[in-house]
Amino acid sequence: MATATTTPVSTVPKSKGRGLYWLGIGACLLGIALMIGQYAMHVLIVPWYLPAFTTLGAVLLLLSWRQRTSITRIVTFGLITTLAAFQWFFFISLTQLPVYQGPAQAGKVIPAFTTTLASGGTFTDKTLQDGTPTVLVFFRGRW
Amino acid sequence: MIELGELESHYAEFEKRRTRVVVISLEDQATAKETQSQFPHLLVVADDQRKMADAIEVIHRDSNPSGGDTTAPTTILVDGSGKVRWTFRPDRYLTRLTPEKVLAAVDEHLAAEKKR
Repeated sequence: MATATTTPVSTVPKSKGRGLYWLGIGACLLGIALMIGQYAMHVLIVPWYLPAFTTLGAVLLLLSWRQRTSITRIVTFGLITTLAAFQWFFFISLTQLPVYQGPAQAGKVIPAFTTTLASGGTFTDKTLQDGTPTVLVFFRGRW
Repeated sequence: MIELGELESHYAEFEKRRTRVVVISLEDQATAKETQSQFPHLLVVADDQRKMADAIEVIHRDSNPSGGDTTAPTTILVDGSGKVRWTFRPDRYLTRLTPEKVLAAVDEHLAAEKKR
């Protein structure tokens, strides 16, 4: 007597939660697009919205996963959650600067130094005493 | 380099205030020359010997993506007698002052110089 084996078939339609899935992906992409736009507009502020949008994306993907389980949804949720965690870590920890406690404080004379101009000339603290007010801008480099 | 581009594009405003803008990094003279040619109205300092950055204590250790140190983004206003009038450092290196804010600080803190 032959016995029939049956494979359990999910009764949840494939499309269930698909809208949330794509909204989640869209939220992540929107954050990246906004950041690119910000730098294209030469606005130099911390783009806190980037990890916020990525986190929103992860939440939407989680909701999508809860509506229907699939490998794609689980993997995408894992990747986006990892990305959001890295972004929060990067913005909170890695971009911090120490508070300035050096000698160039308001009311103090600039400390003595002698350095070199791009042109090869000498630039010293005495140069800063020639009557012309100066804005000194320390920047990180050309990269 | 966005920051330098923004300062360069506002050079006329600094000139109006008879104020020079000096930009300093730890890069060598060849690199600083490139920067100078790109931003002709800024005065570029090649402080690869760190003489200025050490004196003013603006070294940010191990912060160069290619290894080594950089200067922490810091803006200092100095009057014509060499006295510091204002110092600004953002809490995160992704943040910079806009030229408008630098100009506002010049107007506020170097006003006496401007009137001379």
